[in-house]
Amino acid sequence: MTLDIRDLRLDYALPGGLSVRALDGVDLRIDDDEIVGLVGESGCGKSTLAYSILRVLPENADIVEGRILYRNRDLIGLSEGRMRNIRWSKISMVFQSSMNAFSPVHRIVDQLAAVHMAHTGSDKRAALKVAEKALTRMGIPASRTWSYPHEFSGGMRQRAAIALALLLDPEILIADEPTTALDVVIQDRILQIIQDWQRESGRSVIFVSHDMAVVAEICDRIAVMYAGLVVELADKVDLLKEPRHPYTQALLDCVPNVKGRGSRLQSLSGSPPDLRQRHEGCLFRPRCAKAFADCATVKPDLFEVGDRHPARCLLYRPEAS
Amino acid sequence: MTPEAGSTVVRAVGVRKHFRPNRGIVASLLGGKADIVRAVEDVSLEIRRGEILSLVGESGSGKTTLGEVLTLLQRPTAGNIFLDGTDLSRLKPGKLRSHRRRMQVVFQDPYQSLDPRMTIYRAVAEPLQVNEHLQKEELYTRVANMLEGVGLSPAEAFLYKYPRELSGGQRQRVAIARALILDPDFVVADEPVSMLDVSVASGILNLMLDLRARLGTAFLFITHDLAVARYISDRIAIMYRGRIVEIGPAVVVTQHPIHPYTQLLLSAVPAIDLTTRRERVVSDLETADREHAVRGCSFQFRCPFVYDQCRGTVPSLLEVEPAHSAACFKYSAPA
Repeated sequence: MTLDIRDLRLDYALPGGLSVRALDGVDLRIDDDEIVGLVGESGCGKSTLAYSILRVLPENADIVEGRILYRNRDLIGLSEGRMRNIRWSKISMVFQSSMNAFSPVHRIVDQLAAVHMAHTGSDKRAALKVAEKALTRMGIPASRTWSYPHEFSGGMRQRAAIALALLLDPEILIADEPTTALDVVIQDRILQIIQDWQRESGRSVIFVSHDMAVVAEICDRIAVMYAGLVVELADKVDLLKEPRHPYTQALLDCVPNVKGRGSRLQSLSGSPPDLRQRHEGCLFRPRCAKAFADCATVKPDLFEVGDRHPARCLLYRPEAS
Repeated sequence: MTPEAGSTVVRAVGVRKHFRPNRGIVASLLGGKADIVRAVEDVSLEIRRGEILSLVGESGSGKTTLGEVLTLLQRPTAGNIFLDGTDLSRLKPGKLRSHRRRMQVVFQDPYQSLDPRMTIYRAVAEPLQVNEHLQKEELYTRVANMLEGVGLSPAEAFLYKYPRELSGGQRQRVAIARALILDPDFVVADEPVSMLDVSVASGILNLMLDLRARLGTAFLFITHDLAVARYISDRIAIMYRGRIVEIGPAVVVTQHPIHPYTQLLLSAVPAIDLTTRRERVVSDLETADREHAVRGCSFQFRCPFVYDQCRGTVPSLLEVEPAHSAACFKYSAPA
């Protein structure tokens, strides 16, 4: 496996000595040659999890516990210098606003080349060649690789950002809502680019999104997150066909489908828990249609049900316990 | 629905909205002709009482501008807008004012559309206070009932709160209450759920469906999301570069689109569907980004079926089958 996240707990410090528990014991393994989706609603911790892998967290974030093993090395304890050797060349990232991260006064191809030179020590000529090739691979015409960022549309800039993320041939690509601000036709193209790269390279992608349909489209496995926890994890088909956690079930019933049959959508009442406070029992209980007495007091584990499809819900607790 | 369900509430005829963009100081010193941005070009449509018509298009297609022109928040450059037979586009500002209460708008961002210093009570009561002279008790009752009507129940728990104390979904409910308190004939909802989480968005969509059924209000629902459009609307209009290129029943447009642009859009929509594989329609994005049609159909650079005619003439919106129209020579040309 490429990446093994174990029992990751992370707090954000707030003014006044308070803190928010953004990740509360996340276990997740990413294998070679797969796209894993992290899906959930705002505030569930999906982006925090992604950022913590690269250790590009805000200043007030504090990893309280856990390990992030990359090829059996714990990234959490790594010195910043060592981390810099991994960041981008081994694990890189593209996020929603990547397309706005280019310097407006330099040509895009020069910016890619500069990154290549800094990481590999290549000379300018070779770096420009690599950069140009990376851009054309994203479907940007060779005639336009020498443009400035403002001469590109948003979709082209986002594709250039993906070219930048893949420039050093990383082993893991983290994509955090890479298509969220884009129109559907461009979104589709970008999903295809990421998928094609993954299929050809056999590398791993962690794809973070709030959009169940996008995740269903592109991922091999899906991890559903709620209130700082992975609540269900399964192969895409199993998860969509037979969602186990009541939250996943509810979430799927909220999503309109363009091929839908017109049945009324469901919605979730209430709001996610206030993570400034400690909670007893299951965090989803107040909104859960299937909650029973134990849910108020017992914190559910991610119960393995025998077929690589665990769910964090007492409904799947083994009988003996 | 109300007894007169089905009668036309809003009718737009040949509506255009052009802008003269600000040019940089250098460009204006150098002179020359400024480009005109044709945000809305020759749009004609009708919305019936109790109907939800979705306006779907990509960013920059002109859908928000059309919504603003239909509610006279912006005057059209040309064309007429009739509300129940009265031509509002010709009215003087003073006269127009008396019609404004009949048309309301719900905006995308409930974090910006509500005044942070107004309690929920004041925000929802304000339109009533401006338009009707009510006793305090009646005002209170109307506001409280409206809040209950949009699912903010019990109303007492929300009346004296400020927007910051509410979640995004609750704020959007307040914005809807504020839009509906004057019992308008026509509401434009501009991407009202695109900033909300799905579990909250679906509740807002259901609320709008319920309100439509109860009050018979006509809605123009602006969205970029075809799945949402399919769920909420009776009819869907597809907009591309300022023009409506296809309009028809929601189910038909999403299942059997006839305009090549609608076909392209639908082929790109991701769906939770494990049985069928989507066929992608290939389109040249780079050309599309740059080329602006000087003459002819604005979709000609991306279209897989271009005829000679498409390069010279703009196709008009013609009925291809009952209640289903498209602006495409594929359906009107002798080919």
